[in-house]
Amino acid sequence: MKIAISSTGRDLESTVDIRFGRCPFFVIVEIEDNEIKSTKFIENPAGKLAGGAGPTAAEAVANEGVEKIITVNVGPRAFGVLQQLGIEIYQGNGKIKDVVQLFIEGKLVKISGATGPMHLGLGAGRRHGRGGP
Amino acid sequence: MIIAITGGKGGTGKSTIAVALATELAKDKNVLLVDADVDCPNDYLLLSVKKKKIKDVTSMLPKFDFDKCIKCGSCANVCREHAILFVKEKYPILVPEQCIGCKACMTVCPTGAILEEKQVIGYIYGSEKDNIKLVTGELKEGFEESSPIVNAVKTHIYNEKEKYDYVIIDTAAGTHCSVISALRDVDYAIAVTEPTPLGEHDLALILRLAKTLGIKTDVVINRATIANNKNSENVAKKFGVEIIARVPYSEEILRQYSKGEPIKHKSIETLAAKLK
Amino acid sequence: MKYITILSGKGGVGKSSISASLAVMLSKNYKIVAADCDVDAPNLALVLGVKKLKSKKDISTNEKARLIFKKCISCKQCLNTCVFSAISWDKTENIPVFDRFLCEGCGNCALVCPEKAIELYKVKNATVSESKTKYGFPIVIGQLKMGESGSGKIVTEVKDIAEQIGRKTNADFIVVDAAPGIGCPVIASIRESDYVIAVTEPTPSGLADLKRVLRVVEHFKIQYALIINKYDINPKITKKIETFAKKKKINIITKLPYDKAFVEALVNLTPIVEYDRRFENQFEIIKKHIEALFYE
Repeated sequence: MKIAISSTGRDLESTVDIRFGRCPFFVIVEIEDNEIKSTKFIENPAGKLAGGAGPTAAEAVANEGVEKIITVNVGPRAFGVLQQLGIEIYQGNGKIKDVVQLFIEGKLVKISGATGPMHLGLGAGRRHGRGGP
Repeated sequence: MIIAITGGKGGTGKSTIAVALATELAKDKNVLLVDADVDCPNDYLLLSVKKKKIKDVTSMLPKFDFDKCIKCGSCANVCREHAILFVKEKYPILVPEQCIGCKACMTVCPTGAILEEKQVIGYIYGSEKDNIKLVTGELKEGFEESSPIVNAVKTHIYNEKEKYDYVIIDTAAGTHCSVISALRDVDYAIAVTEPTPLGEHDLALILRLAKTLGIKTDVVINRATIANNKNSENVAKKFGVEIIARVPYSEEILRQYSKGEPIKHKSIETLAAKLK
Repeated sequence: MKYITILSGKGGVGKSSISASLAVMLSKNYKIVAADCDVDAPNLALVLGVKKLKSKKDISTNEKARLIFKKCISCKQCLNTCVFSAISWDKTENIPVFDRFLCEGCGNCALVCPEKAIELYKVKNATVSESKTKYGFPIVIGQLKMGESGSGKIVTEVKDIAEQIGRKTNADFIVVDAAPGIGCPVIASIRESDYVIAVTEPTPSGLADLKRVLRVVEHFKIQYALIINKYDINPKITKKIETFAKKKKINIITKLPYDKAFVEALVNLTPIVEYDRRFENQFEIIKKHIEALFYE
């Protein structure tokens, strides 16, 4: 099974880029029998896109044959596309290496809706000015 | 006569002046007020009228006929808005919010697998008050393109405009496409500004745009009493346009404004008289 | 690096004044980059006293169609394909004419043309410049060229440049001053924001526009809070805004009074916190609010 992780850099020591649509790179990791079989880095073609980055990023990872993605934030449009493609989204932050391990151990949370930046990992107090639904 | 009320900077009082002017002119003339600030149309509030929906503004949205689709990906390839995505061996996926309805995908589809659907991107409303008829354009929230709504509003009033002595078009702030759409084909424009560095800066921008579009324009200085008008006057002089009215900043005007009443002041009467 | 975006729906409620003062306040303890994303009418640099813009560079985010004259066989196939009515027919020359204001650069006409006589060319539709403010932090300004379109894409470009500078300087915050309205430039400003501060004023339009822009912010699932500017010009509507905020559990960070000093500060091209120290407290509150969000 192949998974894609939004990444700030080109190696497993890099950290997860919190933005799915406009991250510079994706790490494509192939997992077999709970082990990393291969890794590959692709440039996110949407990283430099002026509009509609999320959906185009989704298209790019789907073309790599990815079944699941790990990231922090997915906008509403990218979410809709990933859902139509049957790609599951897991939330994870930190070093790519550690996040993949957590994924293998089944410790990452699957998300079922578009997320905004304030939902995770920013140490943001939710009592402050929480707007929206 | 079609008059546009514009100004470059937001919040200089475009709508306030447009509504006040329409009210003044409507004392003895037929006036059509058109709210073309489709992002945030407020003229109905300033006139204290309800807006009744006349029609939806739609744009073309492709719909895939999967029986005919051969999964070639041509449609996604030509879409410059990245509104169609293609993953090999899968059917194309549409991102409706990004579609501008250009039909390029239909042109290239080799099997005629793309049909035309419509999506609602905005609304046109109508209201009436005394001698003023108000037509309001409104962009549906979450959609990005304002100018198709402005164009739809202008098409809507096209056949009616002969019935009126004055058509007043209230534009959005800025100089972008929706403002250009609103300004096209008007006979005359009034740029509303305020005597601050920001007002002056943006006044120069809108006067340059009006010049590019070849529209005769004059200036109204709103809140003229809050600061020295000299720089605004210099901008007007540089573009060879006239300052045809100055509306002061006063408690009374502010009170009328925040109560949702069209403002009344002799400067508005003077302005209306000049137009007559 | 966090994006704080200031917007309002309605124009002229004090977005740029508040953005400038907030930027100055934050810059006292953090590394920041200011980004003027009101590319139609950029004013943030002015409010921050930057008179001359440096390193101006033209950018292109748009394309438009044009005719390759010698290839055209006057077949008129292009004429009715344009859904934006940007093509008309020049009867004397017997060629299509493209209206550059109406052309969206979709390329449909070029696809239809059997002779490949229509091409798309890149339009330099904006300039982007960077300057240093006298308060020590850099500012990136986008400016749409006269009569051009594509402001949303320019906003994204401005944010990208601000982000590059932010990465280089290890910035904590990017303060984004958005355009009025709810359309493409505003949506481009909202995207990827970490926090939105919506500025409103107690007028019927101020409240109506606030509600509209907040629905867009909510669509993108971004947290936000409010600032009521000129709160004392209409206590009744201020009350209404407060009731609305309470019902929706929206935090009102602070309320600023109407004060002649705001206009004087503008005229003197100085942010209000620097011009009149009476307002320092209020901006300290806004700064603390942001600190609490990200660093508590």
